[in-house]
Amino acid sequence: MEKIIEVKDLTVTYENDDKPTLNSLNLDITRGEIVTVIGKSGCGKSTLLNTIAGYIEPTTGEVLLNGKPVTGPNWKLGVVFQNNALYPWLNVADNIGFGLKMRHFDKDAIDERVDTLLDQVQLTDKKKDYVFSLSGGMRQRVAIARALANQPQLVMFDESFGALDEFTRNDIHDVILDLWKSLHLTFFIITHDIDEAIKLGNRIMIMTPDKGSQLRVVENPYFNINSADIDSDYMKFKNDILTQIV
Amino acid sequence: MNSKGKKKYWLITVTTWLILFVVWQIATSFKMVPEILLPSPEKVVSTFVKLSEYGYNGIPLWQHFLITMARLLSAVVLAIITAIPLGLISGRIKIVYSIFDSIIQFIRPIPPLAYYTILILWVGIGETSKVVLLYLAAFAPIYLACISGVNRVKDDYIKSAESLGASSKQVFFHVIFPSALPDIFTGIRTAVGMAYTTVVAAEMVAATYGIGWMIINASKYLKSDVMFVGIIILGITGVVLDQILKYVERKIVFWSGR
Repeated sequence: MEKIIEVKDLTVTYENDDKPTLNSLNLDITRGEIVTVIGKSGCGKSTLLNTIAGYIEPTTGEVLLNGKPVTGPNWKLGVVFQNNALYPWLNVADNIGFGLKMRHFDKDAIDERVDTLLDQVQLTDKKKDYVFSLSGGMRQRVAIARALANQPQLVMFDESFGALDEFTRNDIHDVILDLWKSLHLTFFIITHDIDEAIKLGNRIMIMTPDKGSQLRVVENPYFNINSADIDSDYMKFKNDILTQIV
Repeated sequence: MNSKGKKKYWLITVTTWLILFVVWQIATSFKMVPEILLPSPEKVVSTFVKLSEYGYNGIPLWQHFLITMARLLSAVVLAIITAIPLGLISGRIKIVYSIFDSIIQFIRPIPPLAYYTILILWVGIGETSKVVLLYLAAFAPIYLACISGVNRVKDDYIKSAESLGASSKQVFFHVIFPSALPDIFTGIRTAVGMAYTTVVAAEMVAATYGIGWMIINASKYLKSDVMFVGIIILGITGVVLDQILKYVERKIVFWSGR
């Protein structure tokens, strides 16, 4: 399997902190998989994402993208933020095409890709609307489309669905799984919701706060499970994860 | 606020002004206050008509008005052109901030009249010193608003742009600048207010026309009716200018607060 991301002996210690937030952490992400990371608040999940995305420089160790060190933010590493970070002064189409415009794509190419993505996230009729007029779920779809517009190698979600209600969150889960299947994408999803981590992750990584943050990898037999299929085995699996987190 | 609520508050505002007008009318009709201190509304209106017809001190009223506006607007435009880039850069680059901020913070609280004479000595007694005085009054609010606007740009906006492939220059022009626009507009409105309150001071020294000069000149001869006309013109113009700015703000920064 082709490795897209290799995290090698990654340690991150913030200024004025005695203890490292991430301590000698190792992790690989291979093309075409969905990795979900779950852990308690403050265990370093977002630090891990920020370091992979190039926002934070490792104290020691390194993050490799296709074998080359990540030295800063990069269009090949898309990020969807919790509060979506859409630009309210731009309409939906301009938000989605923002990255392509920054990368000097011509207008026709931008329009074509934006139209395709709008169709994929089912927001074609909202193309000219401003993002502040959209619901929370629609905004997250726009944020996903914007992250996908650059055709990044990896799309990362930083607790992106935490602010959504359960119904909207389920819709977004379906959108993500549909996009993953149809476009053969690779996702890295940070969440604090165990059900979300189980439903979306081919592999689940559990971050524990003991001795600096370490990852425990769990193979997930319940990937893309329907709520109707939840049984006692599922609940046992979920409880096992829960006991490892706390 | 719904339209019913808006109408209610509008009615309260109108009623307040009507009450003030009635009190003014009663106070002057019954000679409760000497006319030299408070001329009657009729006297003020008739003086306004006379000034419109014959001007003040040989200069038409509209010329007094236009020169005051020209001084004010040229100072504000100059402040906008210089304070916005400097404020945005200061908000972003700490070295630039360290150079300029303390100087601006030093000048900001000083009453303009305190340095007006020095300005006249430096740049002459003509129009330049007046415009520079108003410019100095208008500069700080815009500059400080820009710094505040840059500091309030959401970190995720910048991170997101960087992850989408934007360069530092693109982040500055496509993310930081539009994001800071609501604060910049607040700064411009404050700046117009500051320059406006300084305009009378600017026209106090060595001016021969302007609404501010007209008020000061009329005060020397206790022409309170002329002073009232000047004050009402300044008041109404101030409100109109602020409404124009609010309208432009709503059109340009339509997303603000949403």
